Amino acid sequence: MAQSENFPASEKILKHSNLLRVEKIQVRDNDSRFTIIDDISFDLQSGQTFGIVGESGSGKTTLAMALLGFSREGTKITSGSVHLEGENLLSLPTNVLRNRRGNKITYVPQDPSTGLNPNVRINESLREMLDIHLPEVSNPKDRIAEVLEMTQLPSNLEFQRKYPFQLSGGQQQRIAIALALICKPKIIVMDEPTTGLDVTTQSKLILVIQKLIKETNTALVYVSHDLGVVRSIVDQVAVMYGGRIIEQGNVSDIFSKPTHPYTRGLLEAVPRATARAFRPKAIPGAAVEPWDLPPGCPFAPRCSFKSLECDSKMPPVQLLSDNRMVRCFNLTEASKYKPDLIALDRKLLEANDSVSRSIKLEVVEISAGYNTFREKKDSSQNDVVNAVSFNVSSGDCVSIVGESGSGKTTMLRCIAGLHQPRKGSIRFGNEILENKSKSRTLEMRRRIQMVPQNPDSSLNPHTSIGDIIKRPIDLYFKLSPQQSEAKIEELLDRVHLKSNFLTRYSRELSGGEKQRVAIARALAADPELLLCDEVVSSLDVAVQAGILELLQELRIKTGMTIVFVSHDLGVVRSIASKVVVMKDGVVVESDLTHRIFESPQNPYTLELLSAIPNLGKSDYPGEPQK
Amino acid sequence: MKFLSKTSLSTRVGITMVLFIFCISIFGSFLAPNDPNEFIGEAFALPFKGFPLGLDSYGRDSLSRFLVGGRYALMISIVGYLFGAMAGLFLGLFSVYSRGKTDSALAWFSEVLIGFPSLVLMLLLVAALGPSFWVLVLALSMVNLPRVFRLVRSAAQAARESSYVEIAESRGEGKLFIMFREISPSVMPPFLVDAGVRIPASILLVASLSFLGLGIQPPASDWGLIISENRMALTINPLSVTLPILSLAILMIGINLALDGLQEKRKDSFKLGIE
Repeated sequence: MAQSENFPASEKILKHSNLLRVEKIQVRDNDSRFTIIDDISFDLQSGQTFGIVGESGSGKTTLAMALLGFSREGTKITSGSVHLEGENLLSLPTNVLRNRRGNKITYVPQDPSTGLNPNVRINESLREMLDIHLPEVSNPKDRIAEVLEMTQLPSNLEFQRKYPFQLSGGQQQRIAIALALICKPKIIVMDEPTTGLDVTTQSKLILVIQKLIKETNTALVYVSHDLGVVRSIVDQVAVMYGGRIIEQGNVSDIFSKPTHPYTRGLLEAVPRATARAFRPKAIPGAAVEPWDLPPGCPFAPRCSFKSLECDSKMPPVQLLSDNRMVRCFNLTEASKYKPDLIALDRKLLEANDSVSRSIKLEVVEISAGYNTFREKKDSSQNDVVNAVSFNVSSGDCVSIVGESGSGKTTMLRCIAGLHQPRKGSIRFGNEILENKSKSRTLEMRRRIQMVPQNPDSSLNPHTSIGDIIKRPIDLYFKLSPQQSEAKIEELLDRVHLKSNFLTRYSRELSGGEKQRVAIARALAADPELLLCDEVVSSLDVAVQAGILELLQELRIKTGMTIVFVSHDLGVVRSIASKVVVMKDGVVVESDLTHRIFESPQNPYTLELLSAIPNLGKSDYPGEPQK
Repeated sequence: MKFLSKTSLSTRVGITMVLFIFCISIFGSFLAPNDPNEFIGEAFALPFKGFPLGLDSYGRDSLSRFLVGGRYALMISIVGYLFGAMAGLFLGLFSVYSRGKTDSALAWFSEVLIGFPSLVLMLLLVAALGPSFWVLVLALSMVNLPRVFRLVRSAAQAARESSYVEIAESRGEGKLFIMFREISPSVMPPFLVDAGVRIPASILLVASLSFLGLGIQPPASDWGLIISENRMALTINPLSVTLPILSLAILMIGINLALDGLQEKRKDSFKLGIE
């Protein structure tokens, strides 16, 4: 490792350290076969907020946990130090360290529904924190009420006696934050606290966090893959890739003038829900895993500016200004580069719309719900979709947008025949669709294909990728073995996967690759209508942009019609030509995409748009000229 | 034998143990030096020339009776387990696939069957229908079926609700394809573990039944029966009891070692690609 050469540089960046000083942390697996994070140094003053961004697998959670002197099962912190108020946490005996955790430095985990014990009442868990760390507090009840108020939760006894499962996701996350806050720690480490929440819930939570940090003067380490959220919360940001910090500095500097090719790529991939935006651009290749890190710069295999040096040597830390650092050999070449981004403007979208097309899918007054055991089948009380109507023209991409519980997935399942609507009809081409997929003809089922939300559960873990893609071909077409083999090859090529994937199993694939396989399986049927249910929501931005590019490309090449369900307006902005906004099972607004973003009519659409933590105009790569 | 070369030592030992006992029980009747039903001399006589294990409670050749006696117990327990397990697997998958009333009805019925203690259920059936080979197989299947059914049903439920099954349904796949190609692979790991417990238990059940006198009827020879008939004479001539007991023990241990190995092999192939 190139530790010795960059030592003076890291020394400078650490010179003002007073509250937290992290030096050269390295975490490896127990058998020292691979390094998960390496050579990470930064410092933090009280009241400061520090963001850690990166794709999944970049080591950001490992780093967040290492700050508390914790390493996950099978890994260990092999070197480095974490000085909290001058005391090295990593050299403390376990019992002392345990006292520091939760007292001086606290952790808010990603998923509050698994982070809180469902059998313990809220006030009991809060009380427990106080009893362990601050038994001398004279009136713990007041303190509990105080932190609940700070996190903008009700502080009455009735609420305090609730169990975590009785609360909504946003409330659970606030409880997790209250737990982290109750002992007045110096530092809170939050690991993706808003991931998995709806945009409006997320924006409220972000406000709470911002206010708390200001009021309590606590330092915050905020880990997230969402660049928009990080932009709106932190002052300092570190971009991680392959277990290293590759760029670090003031958040406004990094976002407006990124220097590292990876940071640029990441920002180019972020979809923006603004009136004017570029189409997100994917970073080629897949993120590196800790066990096959290249010997030199971890980003070298995907970098378009790489030189010979990059393949063999780790770039040293370069100081650009007082608190700005970057690891790259080819900064000058990279800074001259202008990306060829496509503006998502009215012309581009209207060009799509000017050709008058026949209507492919017509949804008329669909109502659907889930029946509980005792209620009658025809009770409209349980409807999650209420008299929804919309049309999709042939070869078009229409997006259904809404928060969780808005009925958008149920709507999609009705079209796929997986859920029986209570009322209404769906016309596909010239035919009225049967409600149940079982009563539809095989030919009709072939014409409508669905790509489900979570690629982890949509591919059978016991079936090879080749068999998964081959099955629809065998079912729908009578092809000779040679023909079907050729077709599989062609499909893999279309979704940009290599043919050596055929013998692999889904567990060996990354999230983006799995989603490509799921798309290939749907395409194997030569469908006319592709139903996509949140297909990119579990993916990292760089991968997400790749899938969006792929869908766009397929739609143009094959003339396929796409219905795209998503909660993310930014994603929708880049793919759909028409948007249907749903709330509580009802369509509140439905219009051409650019009109929705330029002049939203419905207050709910406006609320959704303003809740998105967007990157600003000044942030790279900016907005297209008018 | 390529398959064996990849397995661990304990698996190979386990398989060898099982094969050894199988060989004894299948080919034993050809190796038996004497007629197992012929009365030779005094009961519980100690070994003498031509009769290395001595004589049993009726003065018959212990060795010959041991060699012949493995066949029935093993056949009944293995066939009985297989019938019950296959039916349980099929019904479990079918029940989970069908959901709703079919599922509830089958689950309720299996609970009723499980309500009877295994031995009592077998005794009832044998008492009603008489102790013949097929009745014993049937009785053993009835013991295994609801238990395997319950296991398969609970293991298959997660896969049933997964989106790959949903996609297969919307694609137009048939019932059997979904049951056996999409759902059943995720049932296999617990099914195999269960087999490791259930096959030995079945052998013991059949042996217990013989011991109680409701299995294979005398004068036919059977390990359980041999143990029952000769246990009083453990102090006089322990040899006639020892071999059947040892064989049963070796078989149990062997089956468990072998199935553990199979489990590990599956686990290995399921490890995440860290290496």
